[in-house]
Amino acid sequence: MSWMDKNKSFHPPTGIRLTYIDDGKLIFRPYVYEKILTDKVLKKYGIVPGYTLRAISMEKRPGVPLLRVVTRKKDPAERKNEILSAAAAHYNLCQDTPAVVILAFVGWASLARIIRGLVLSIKNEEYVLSARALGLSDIKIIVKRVLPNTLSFVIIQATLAIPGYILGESALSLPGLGITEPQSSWGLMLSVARNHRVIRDFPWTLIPGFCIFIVIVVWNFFGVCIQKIGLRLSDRLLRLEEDTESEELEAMAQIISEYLGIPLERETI
Amino acid sequence: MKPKNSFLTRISFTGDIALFISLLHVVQWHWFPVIVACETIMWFVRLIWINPSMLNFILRHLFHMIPIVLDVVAIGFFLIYLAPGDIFTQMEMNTDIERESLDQFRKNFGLDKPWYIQFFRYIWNALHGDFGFSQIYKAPVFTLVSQRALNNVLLAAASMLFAWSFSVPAGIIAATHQYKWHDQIISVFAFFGLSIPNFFLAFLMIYLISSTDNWLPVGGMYSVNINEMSSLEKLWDLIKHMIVPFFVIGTSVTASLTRIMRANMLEILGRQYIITARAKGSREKSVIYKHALRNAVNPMITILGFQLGNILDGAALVEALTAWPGLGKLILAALLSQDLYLVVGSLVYSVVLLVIGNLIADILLAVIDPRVRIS
Repeated sequence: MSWMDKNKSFHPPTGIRLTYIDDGKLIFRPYVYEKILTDKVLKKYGIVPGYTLRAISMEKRPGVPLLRVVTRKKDPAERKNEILSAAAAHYNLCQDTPAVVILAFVGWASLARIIRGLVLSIKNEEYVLSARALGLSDIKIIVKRVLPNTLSFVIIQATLAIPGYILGESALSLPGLGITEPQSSWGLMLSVARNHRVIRDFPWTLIPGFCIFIVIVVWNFFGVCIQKIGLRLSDRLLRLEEDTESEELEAMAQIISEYLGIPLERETI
Repeated sequence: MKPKNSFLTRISFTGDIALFISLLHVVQWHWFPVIVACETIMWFVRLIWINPSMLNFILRHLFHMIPIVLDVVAIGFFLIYLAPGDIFTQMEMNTDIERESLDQFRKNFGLDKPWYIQFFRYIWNALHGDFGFSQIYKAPVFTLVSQRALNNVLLAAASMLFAWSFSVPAGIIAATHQYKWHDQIISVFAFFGLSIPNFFLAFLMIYLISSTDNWLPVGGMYSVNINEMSSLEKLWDLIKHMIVPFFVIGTSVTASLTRIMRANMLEILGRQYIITARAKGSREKSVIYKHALRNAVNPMITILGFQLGNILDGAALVEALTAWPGLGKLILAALLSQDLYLVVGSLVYSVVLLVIGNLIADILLAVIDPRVRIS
């Protein structure tokens, strides 16, 4: 029993203190971290470099052979280095955001591959050809014509990717490779439960797992909604698929269109 | 096929037996890997007559594998080099071990050289069949990985079989009854299966079992008294131990496959040739199973290839949590104590799996879909 006394965290949560899980650590604090984390991943590391690198490398095909080699060779290797780079980052890179760097390092390639396909098809569109005929510089064509047309897809993809990043972060933190002790994260909190006996005797240590689960469910629903609404920023139009019948979806599209100040339209096939 | 080639193909089956017997006597392996090896060789030989372009395709893919494997090994060495310290750093704290002997250890492992020299030495040794020595397990890496690989593949194959046999019918049912109660139920299950983290499901299972009188064993692969059992009891014991990791991995794969299958099927069912098939009076069964299903399964084959490759990645954490003696635990232990050669060895294993998985998927696609030509 002395072991239990030492670790206050193993007392069951009671009443209003349900939000506390270990030694005054608020259970909802990690959510803020995870949100910042995913935002960081998506905005700074994951999307932007993958996006621009790939667009540039495909637009100027012979010009950037090195980039093409790098991105191409990456495909099979990309997933393989997740755990490995986790270790490297854990030991070496800045202690604050190792998980962010790892997830970005692993995650950029898949998006880059999709963007590659999109850019490949867009660059043969008539408006790109006309821009080229008018003598616009390559940079201008990329920034003004090609990138805006991939934007709606990237937004949808980003929303769908967020639960994956949250999952990845907690899966890394669980064996102690991602976020470490001074910071806090649901995956890290859950790592207490790695012992069978702890799970049996102190089942409330599993609460962070339920939190991860709920957040992922919510983000998944949101991603599916965004996908169905079909955001098209390039046209300055918000389109709702014809066969969507749900009223909630329509209400959501309304809210988004009001928020962004762009008109809503039903797509006719 | 020309008559002469057909004759050669038939005669070559005798070569199988001869090769099997001679290999069994020369290398003296277990009979199972010998059969696998000699069948692979003989089918390659037969492909010369049956389908030369296919052989060309396979050889080219295998040739492309070389730079990818080298790439991954180089990245592995570089990343381990980035991390400060090495496997002997822990020993430095121990006052019983002298500095000089530590330096000697490092020298024996080649750790005093820069990482690219280590890389080339590793490649040179690997070409001679020596994949290095694991310091934490005190055994050659090749033996360690090949022992664990079988368990890993067993678990992954079982859960994949389950996932595929369950998700394809579920996807068809959901798509043909869109927005009805069948579809709602399947979609909800798929959604939750996709959203629940694998490790959390493992925790829940363990809690469920350990709080209800331990009706299933948790962790490990066999019971302690395995040597006293008959072979049938051994099998039953194995199955009982496999249920938890199998269920955890199987559900998540099933969920994602069901969703993909449903989406594919819906897309195909909206095509014009389905309307044509219905209009000309085909029965609903033949419309769905002959016209729609065959087209909807195509993209799934590509996914199969990726899944074969991700056997290791997908199962690693679950294996570690449920104490299944697969590669997952091995890799985690190797990473945390920076056991260089073990890490790189398991990386090579997983990359080879990935490339071969993709190759199998390409071949299957060519076999199933007549529009796809291997060139």
